[in-house]
Amino acid sequence: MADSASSAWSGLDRALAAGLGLSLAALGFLVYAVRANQSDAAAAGHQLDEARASLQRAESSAGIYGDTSRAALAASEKAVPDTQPYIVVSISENRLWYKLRDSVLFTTRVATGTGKTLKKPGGKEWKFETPRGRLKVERREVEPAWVPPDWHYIEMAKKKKLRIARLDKGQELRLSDGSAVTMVGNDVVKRLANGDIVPYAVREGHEIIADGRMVIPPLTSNQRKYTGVLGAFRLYMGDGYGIHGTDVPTSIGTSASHGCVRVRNEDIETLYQIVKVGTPVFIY
Amino acid sequence: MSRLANRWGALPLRTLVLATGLTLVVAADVWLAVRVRSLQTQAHQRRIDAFGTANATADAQMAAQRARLQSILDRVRAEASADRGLHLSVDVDSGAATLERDGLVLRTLGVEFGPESVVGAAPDTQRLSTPRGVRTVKSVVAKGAAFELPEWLYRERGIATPASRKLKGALGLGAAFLEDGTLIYAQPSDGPLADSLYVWPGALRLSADDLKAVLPNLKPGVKVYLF
Repeated sequence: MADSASSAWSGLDRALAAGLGLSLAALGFLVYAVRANQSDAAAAGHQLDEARASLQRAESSAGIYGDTSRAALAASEKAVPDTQPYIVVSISENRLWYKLRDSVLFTTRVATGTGKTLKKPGGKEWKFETPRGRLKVERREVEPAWVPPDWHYIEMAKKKKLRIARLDKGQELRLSDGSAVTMVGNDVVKRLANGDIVPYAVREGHEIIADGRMVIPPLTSNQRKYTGVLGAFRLYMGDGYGIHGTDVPTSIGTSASHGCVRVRNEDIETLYQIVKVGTPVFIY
Repeated sequence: MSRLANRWGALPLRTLVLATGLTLVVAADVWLAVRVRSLQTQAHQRRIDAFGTANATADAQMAAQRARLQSILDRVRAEASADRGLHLSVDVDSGAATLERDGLVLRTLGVEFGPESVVGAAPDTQRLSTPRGVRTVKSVVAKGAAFELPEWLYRERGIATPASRKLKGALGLGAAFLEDGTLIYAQPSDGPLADSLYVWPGALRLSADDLKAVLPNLKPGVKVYLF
């Protein structure tokens, strides 16, 4: 009896066995759940790592582009140092600016080339334009004399309906009255029939006219030097072009010159004082 | 104590084994349940972090894209500064252009930009927009010269297309065309473009004074930097 009683399951045993069964089932489920959540957490971790790597790449490329920009901008150097003032001339506006960096130190109205043309004897032509581009102040001149180019005589001859006669050094132009135009020293003179010598006095608009011909004096002669026409100062820019004063102040602000940049006499005085040799001149 | 020992001792072995087993299994269950919860929290947190990082990545990618575009524009700007020849630099965002040479500003110009627009009739349409980058002047139309305005311009303006679209002075004071067809002009006094409120799509419109000043300098081959 005792053996049969001990081998029989008590109510407690049955409850424990049922609880154990349930717990084992729960254990199985939980083991599965742990595994599933472990792989889920690992996937989420992988996702996070990838996101972090993408962020790093994106931040690094933003940084690289920023660095590239800074490097590119730093590499672009200015051709003219920041401490170098420069002159700018606008042909369309007939205005001049003397600038340092973005600051305008001085500005005034000017006269620039007319843009007109004049036929050369050989068939070509002169164009009276102020040259666009970069020039520089090559020298500063006080009381500059104007040595009129050939076109001046041709233009005057055309106006006065005269022919042209070029006088070269050592040459003589015989005139109908027996006299002759020739050079003595640096002067163009008229040698009269009786041998007397009379030097020519010339000024702009009153050139040497002999026997209905406009005489073009030699370049080195005193009669090819006009004073007072260019004002008291000139900033010479090469190739015959300059910034100078004028004896025709009403022309300022218009396209009136043969290519030079004319300014009022008081303005050229100011410019002469502040502009140094080597100053770049940009004409546009 | 002795009573307790007696009590445990009185239990059959099977009961003790079952009770011990149950205790161990329940403990394992509890531990696993805590572990599951912890893993769930961990995964959830990682997803939140990944989402935040993905947002930050998207922002960083957009920043990188902007930086890339800015870098390209800065390179164009740098190229313009380094260009010693006469050229036009156009800052599209600020609507200002400068005529430059040797790194120096010769003139500052105000610029109006034509809107982006698809012009023409299908299938022959064309998208016109303000370009960015380096361009060169391809051709110049002289002041008062005859110019054939495109048909789409009349349509866009709501004006009847005339028999001949070639008009003298259609572009007023003159104009310059860049290699990609971009037009630089000023408002003419007559014709379909003589409207202060209308700017040719994708074109650069200058004031009359500015155009007069710069056009003689915009010879074919002159570079125009747009950034």
